[in-house]
Amino acid sequence: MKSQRKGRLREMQLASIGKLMAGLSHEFKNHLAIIKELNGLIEDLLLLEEPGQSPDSERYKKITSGINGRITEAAEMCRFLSRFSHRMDQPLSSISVTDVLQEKIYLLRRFAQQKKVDLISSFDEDLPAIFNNPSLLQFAIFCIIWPALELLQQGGRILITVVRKGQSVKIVVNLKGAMEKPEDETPWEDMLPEVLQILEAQLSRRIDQDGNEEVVITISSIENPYRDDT
Amino acid sequence: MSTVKVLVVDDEIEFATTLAERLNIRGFEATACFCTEDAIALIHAKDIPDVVLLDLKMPHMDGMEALEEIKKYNPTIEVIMLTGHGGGIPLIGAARQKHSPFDCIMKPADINDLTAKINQAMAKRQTAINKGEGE
Repeated sequence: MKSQRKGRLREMQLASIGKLMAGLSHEFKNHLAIIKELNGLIEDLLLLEEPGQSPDSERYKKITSGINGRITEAAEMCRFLSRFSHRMDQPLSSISVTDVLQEKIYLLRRFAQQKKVDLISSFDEDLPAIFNNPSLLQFAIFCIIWPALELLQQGGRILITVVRKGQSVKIVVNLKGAMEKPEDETPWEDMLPEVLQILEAQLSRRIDQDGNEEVVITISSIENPYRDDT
Repeated sequence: MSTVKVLVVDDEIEFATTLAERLNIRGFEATACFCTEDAIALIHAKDIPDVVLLDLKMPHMDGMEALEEIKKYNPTIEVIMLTGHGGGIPLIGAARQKHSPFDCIMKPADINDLTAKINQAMAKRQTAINKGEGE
């Protein structure tokens, strides 16, 4: 039973990565398509120029600035993707919760933008570093945010507030706005208790009278099984 | 032969406007539009394009839904889907779709391939018009 649950958890974590990669590779292709068109436009304009004619430098500057902007955005995406991928290098490590969550939020932001849902985050500056599983923590956040993105309608808001609580870190996710039934009913949220059990984190949920939900995760360091105390 | 009217529909404004400009340089009469709802409103306002270049993944009404609307209004308008979505092509011909696009081109596309497809799509539309379909 335990290995079955572990297998299911792995499948779901892989599925979450697949969802992100599919969306982000689509976004990446969009950047490339725009770069290709802008570059093509420069070629077209150069071919149209009469010999001896002075080039419209303002026009070219505008086009090349568009290309630079897209390259910057695509490079930023690659930087976050690379950091996200390396989170899986080691199951346990000393982590900055801010860095770990900011990566995940960055990757989820395009999906929020597509649905016109605000995804806002705020981090305390003095959060303690914790020793825990970074990729599972990212998966835990995915299990809250992804179904919310499917449920929330345009104009909805997801607010993530991360604060210090002694040597622990408290992650508060507020979901606000009208919800609709999703087409994809993958039970992401069902995985949350199991994920949090591995992370030795606590979970609490509260729904107010307007139907807005607050999910709170409190996470701290777990024992390092590889530490040599002798 | 009159100029081929092309409507480029993509929520990436920079992509739609640049592609429209490049098509205009090549002798097409291209216009850019940034959402499917506006594209359909344009068509309903009798500003009928010959060929629509339609992004598959758009907010609100996606490309496949827009294809149905356009074809319902005038089946001779040819639609070429543009997509950066890896699974885009297998979606074409899905059971729920009544109409099919003329073709589906992956982004980033080559402008020469695209103009060749537009001309082929236009030839198909012309044949349909000559047969008295949809007008």
